[in-house]
Amino acid sequence: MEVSSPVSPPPPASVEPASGFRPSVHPLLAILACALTNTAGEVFRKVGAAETADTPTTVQWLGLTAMVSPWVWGGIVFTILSFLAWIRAVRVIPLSIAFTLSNVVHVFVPLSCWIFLGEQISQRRWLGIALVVIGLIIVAPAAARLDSKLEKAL
Amino acid sequence: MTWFFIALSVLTFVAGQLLLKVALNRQEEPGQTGDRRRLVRWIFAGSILSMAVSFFLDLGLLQKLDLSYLFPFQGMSVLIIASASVLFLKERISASLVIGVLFITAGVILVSMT
Repeated sequence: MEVSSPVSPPPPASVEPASGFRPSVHPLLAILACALTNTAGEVFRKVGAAETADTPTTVQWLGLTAMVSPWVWGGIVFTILSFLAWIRAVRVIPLSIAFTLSNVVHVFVPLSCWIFLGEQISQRRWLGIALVVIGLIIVAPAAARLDSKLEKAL
Repeated sequence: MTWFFIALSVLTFVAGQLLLKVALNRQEEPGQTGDRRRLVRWIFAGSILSMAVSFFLDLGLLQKLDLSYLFPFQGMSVLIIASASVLFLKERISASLVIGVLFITAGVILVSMT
């Protein structure tokens, strides 16, 4: 989900282009859309996986049997949409900020698991998730920098 | 074994993303010879293969585990990027990196105990 790009000033919130293209989306909205579609993608894939969990298979650890589920395919569509929203966001805001804000997905996903999937999430699990989010926020600038360096070095 | 496959799923995802960005960067370079174009295609193929392995491993894991259990492990991608940078690029380990990675690791360990 990380794409390096030069920082440019954000476009005005509403633009009326002469050519008739869609007006620019505010980058924060794009991040929110990214997080929401990513969450939907994960939940859909989980539903599809759970549906097909008991299908006998020779290869235990690859979820090939899940591919027959339309939920999984729906999940793939949402994940692609999430990626497109991400691309739009990182065009105008720095990668480390985008990455920090996108960590809201770590709240959306367990909440969705509790609401839609009926998963029981203990206090210990919530605490673990909170620590992961704090850690991700702390490393965001360093991680974004190292990611670009690795990509340029290879 | 479960944790091996979770780790492998995150590792192949990070590798796939990195290879994709490398391929895209190299594609933009001027003066492409036949050999270079072939190399870029191999890198793309490697990226897609790696992400496909990650995707299917993840699906397999989702057939066995709760999503709220599995999802926090994605935070480990930062640990992989940091380790690779330190090992291969001899990057300096900053304080924020250490502290952040400690938080993520502690969080992941807590989740794995639920």
